[in-house]
Amino acid sequence: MMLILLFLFVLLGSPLHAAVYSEDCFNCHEAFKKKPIHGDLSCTSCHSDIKSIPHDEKLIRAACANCHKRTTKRYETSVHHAQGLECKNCHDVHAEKEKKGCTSCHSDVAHKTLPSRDKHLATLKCVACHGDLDRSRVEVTVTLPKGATLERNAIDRDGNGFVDPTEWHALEALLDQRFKGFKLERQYWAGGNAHEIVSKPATCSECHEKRSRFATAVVRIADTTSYSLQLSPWVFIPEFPPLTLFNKTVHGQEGVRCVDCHISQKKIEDTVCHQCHQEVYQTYRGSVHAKKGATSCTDCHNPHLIKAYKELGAKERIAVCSRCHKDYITRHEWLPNTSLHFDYLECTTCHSPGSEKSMVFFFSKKAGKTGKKEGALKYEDLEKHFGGNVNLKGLIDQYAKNMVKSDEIGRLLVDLKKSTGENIFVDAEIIVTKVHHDYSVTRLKEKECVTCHSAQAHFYNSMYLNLPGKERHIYVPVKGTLLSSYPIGMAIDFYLLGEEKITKKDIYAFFGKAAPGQPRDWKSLGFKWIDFSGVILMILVLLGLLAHGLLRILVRR
Amino acid sequence: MKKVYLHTLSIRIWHWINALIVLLLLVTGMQLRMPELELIPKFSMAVLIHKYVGFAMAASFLYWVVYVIANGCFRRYYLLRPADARVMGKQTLFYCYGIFKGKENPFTPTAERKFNPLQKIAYSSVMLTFTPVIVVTGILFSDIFFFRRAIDLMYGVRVLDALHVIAGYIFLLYLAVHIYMSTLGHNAFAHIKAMIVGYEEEPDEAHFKGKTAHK
Repeated sequence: MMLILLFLFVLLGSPLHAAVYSEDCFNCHEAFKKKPIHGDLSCTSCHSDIKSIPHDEKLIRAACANCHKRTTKRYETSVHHAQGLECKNCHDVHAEKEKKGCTSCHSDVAHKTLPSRDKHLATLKCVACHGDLDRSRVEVTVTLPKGATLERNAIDRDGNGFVDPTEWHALEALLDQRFKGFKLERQYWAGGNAHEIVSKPATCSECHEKRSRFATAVVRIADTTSYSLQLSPWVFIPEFPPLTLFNKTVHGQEGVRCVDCHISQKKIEDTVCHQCHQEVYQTYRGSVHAKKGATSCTDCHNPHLIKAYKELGAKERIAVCSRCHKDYITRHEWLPNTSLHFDYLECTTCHSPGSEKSMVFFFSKKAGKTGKKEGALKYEDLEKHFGGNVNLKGLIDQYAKNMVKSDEIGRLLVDLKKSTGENIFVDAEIIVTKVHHDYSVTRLKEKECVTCHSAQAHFYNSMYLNLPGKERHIYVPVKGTLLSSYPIGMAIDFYLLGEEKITKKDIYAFFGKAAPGQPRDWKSLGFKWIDFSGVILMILVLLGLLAHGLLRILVRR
Repeated sequence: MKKVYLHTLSIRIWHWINALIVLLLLVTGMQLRMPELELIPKFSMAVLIHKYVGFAMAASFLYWVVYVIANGCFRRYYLLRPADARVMGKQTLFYCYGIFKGKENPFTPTAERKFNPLQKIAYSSVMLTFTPVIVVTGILFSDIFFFRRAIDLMYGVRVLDALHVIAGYIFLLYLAVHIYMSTLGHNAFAHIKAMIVGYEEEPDEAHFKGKTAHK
């Protein structure tokens, strides 16, 4: 009994018992009663110097750092800390809504100097630019209509686990076409901490050039299964050239200075461009495209682009047009193997009748095992083979004299394959080599395969081999038809159909009425023997049936 | 006149649907092959019709395979037998010569034996060789990129195209002969009518005897 009494005495007399309950505090501080107090903490958790009620008038300031050690440490690097702001300036721990947003202080931030201000402010949180980001990425969610499924390989067509801009455009077209009612949400997710607001906001180049922010993007397809794929962030964040590289751009090299174009703070107007590009401007201004669509030069052209138009491959050229013409794949559904065509053609191959189109060959690489295309050979690859400072001019002269023949390309190809040990092949594209600026024609007549798929196709008269130079690509004219000598094998990925379709000329040639110099033997027909035999057989069979029928009628009579 | 039930309803429906499919494919196919023909007002329309009707052809062929092979029709009607070898010459002779003399067709279709040996050869080669070739090559054409590996195995698109077009010409030739032969019944429309109503009206023995006697 004595022991129990002693225990009670010690217990009741200890500081534990002396702790003040929050309910007791509310007797005086009634205003805090209805508000949540910092989670489930009691008043004395922070106001730890209150041992009894009534307490001293002057209390020690509650120290957030006792609990929020890491955050306080991070906050110490922040510009807000440097300005002398404390936790309570943003966080009212007694208030119902505990956190203050950035706008509660910075309500009138104009962001006057921010280009595309509304776009940026609508999509990005303050920390995206003003914070020190741990992680950031663009998250795209495509929600398909109920019950619909979309196979992974229909999006990632080359199977490299990455959706490049071309594949993304193809996906957009596919969604429009087959998944009516789909939803596409885009979020620029910035994993930054509001405690680490930096003094200087991120520069444009961090997103648009160096890509240290929003360097990755992921698309999640939400259908019956739901899966994610890595995606090129370039689709959503356009690339800007760095000023340091301006001297390498075509304009830079021609000696154009910033102030020559940037004559005011406003968007650059066409008058600036036509100071130099008078002729092109006149052609374009009268065209339907200019009147109805892209009205100013900069709608299509980025004057800071490092690559000249000739440096761009078919896919990059399509990317220029597809910024507006997003539905280009859907619109070409009539074209058999639509996507495949767009691997080898650019829009203006058909839609700019005044331009000169050429078949442009280039060396390309394939991955060893998978056989997947890895893209065009770069200057560095040539360096590996020929040593430093490749003299392309000399290289060509070694094989030909300013004009290559198909067998010379073949020899270079074999050499390159041997020395690099890589799977190199000759790829080709049919692209514009001399630009005419009238894109108004939709050219219904061109919806005929034989315009391109025939030996008479216009681009056979203009062929080039494109070699990657250190600064610029070099276009070397090609002599003779490369494809006819290497239908498959050398240019295995560039098949042409329809060359074997027969014409009147071939029939005359075969029956000996050929003009001198025309081929006249069976072999010269090539694949044309199919049509040739087919038509002749058909005529014979019809004649036979006709004779049989006539005879029947005659006899019966 | 006696009535013989030759064609079941399902085979009749299949026949006419398939006929429409083949006709559409031949016309659009010719347009694609020779754009200057201008059979179809818009080239793009020809491309799309050919593509989608092509898939219908694949489905139609699949139906035929399941229907004809699974229920034993193939063995019963299409398989050549030793006996066929003997009548083959007779049958050919009839078409080339006897028919003009008003002779009796050596073969009379019955519910058990629908086709003469020449028909057996024609139908089974079209259905078992040329249709599969044209359907498979057509499917490969529908997405060259997707089927690239298979196409490379068969030495490229040129060979694929050659096979598809050769089979196409054979269909065209077959169709001409098939339509003509359909008029060789006891009157010009007897076979065609049979393919619509199912029953073929055949003159009885006496009719032929009477006819010969009359001559």
